[in-house]
Amino acid sequence: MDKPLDAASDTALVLAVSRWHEGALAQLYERHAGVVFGLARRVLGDPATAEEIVQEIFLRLWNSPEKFDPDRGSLRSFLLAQTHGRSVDRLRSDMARRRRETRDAYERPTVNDSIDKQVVDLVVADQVREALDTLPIDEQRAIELAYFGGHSYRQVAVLLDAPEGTVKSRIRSGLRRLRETLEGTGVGVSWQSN
Amino acid sequence: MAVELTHEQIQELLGAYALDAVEADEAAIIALHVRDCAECQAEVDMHHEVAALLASEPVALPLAPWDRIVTDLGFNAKESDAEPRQPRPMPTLPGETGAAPGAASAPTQGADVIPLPRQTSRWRWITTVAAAVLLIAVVSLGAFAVHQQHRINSMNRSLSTLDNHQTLAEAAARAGSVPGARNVELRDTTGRPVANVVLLQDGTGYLIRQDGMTALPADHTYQLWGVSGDVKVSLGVLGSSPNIAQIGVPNGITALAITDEHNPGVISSTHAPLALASI
Repeated sequence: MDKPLDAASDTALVLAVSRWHEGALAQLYERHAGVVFGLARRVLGDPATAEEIVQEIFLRLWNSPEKFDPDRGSLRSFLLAQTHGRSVDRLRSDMARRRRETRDAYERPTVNDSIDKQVVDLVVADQVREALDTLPIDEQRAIELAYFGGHSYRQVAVLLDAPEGTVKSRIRSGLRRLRETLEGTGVGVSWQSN
Repeated sequence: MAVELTHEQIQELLGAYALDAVEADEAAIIALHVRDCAECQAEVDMHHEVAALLASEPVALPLAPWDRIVTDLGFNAKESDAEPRQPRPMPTLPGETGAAPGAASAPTQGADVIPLPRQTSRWRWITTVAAAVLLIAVVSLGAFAVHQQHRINSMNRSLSTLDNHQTLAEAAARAGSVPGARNVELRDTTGRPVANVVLLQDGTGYLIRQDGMTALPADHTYQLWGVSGDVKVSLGVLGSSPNIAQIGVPNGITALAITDEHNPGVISSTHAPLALASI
């Protein structure tokens, strides 16, 4: 690879990983491991297990770089989709879930919590939170319980005392509405280019 | 009893599926379906992109997993110890020259430059244009930041020899009344003001200490950062107990942050910001 690693796109780096380029994996780790860890930790509630997920995700990327298709989306969304799937698998099979059920089901990061995080994604995170706040509260809750709580839509229906069909619709329509709102603000471009 | 779902029933589940919120048997059926249904696959991909944004709260980079990866994969081993490895076959990527499997592991001509994939939706078109603008801004920011660092370091050295006719405080005070000037207040986690920035339209400005900016140990310094998307650029070190500093903020910066660093400052900070403000 001729250009410096930190100037290369995610796609170029994944191609380099397919050619066993260790530095390319390191660069991808530096770019994305933070949010991978953040999501895993938020779903699992356990930093140690979240670190295991991070290790697993990047080992997967090293071993199977061909699984990433840039035509289908960004590398970040690919990594986070894998992260979420693995985290939910662990959550549903882990005794730790019993401890999580005592936590507030609607727990969300607040502005004060975000101060503890790196400033790099701060502005984007604020805009995403604002977009989430524009959703009808029923859609917000359904998405948060499903995504961050690791609950199935059936479990969300029980938690919200709503029909399963209603919950399915809320999740789907909420995601679509979020996409439209974020599209309008241009959020999501900072790593889409990679 | 095996679950059977119609296309419409699967569509209703796509949002939940993208969030891993379906039952295992439903997930298996949907996974099979989307392999052959471009419409549903595109919707799932879209939901994944939105979910990725929801998940992108900034956190500190975990270092321990990387150490384990390096150990597991035997990185940094001497090349002479390793057997030559064939590149893995990848899906055809834009810009790939189509080197046959088993070709030399060094990237082929042009393969290190991967143009963006063909934009098939308005979402990706918008992000491509905006990404190009951001790339230009990043390059400009990098050069400007280096220049600004030199300027600010020079300013700090000359603070003690300012001309009596125009102290920094006077200049900062006058800046506040310049048409188009903006006041940006950086606050800490408790909401206490740490610094006030008077920002002029040409990007120059003044940072004025507030009550929340307490003196640091002598071997530390406050450092000012400008944020634009994923990019964090140093706008200069302020010293351990600054009062007023002249600064420069490039176009495209959307937030300011202050961190506490060891002297003489850092290229890339790993510390949580002490104070923040959006511009």
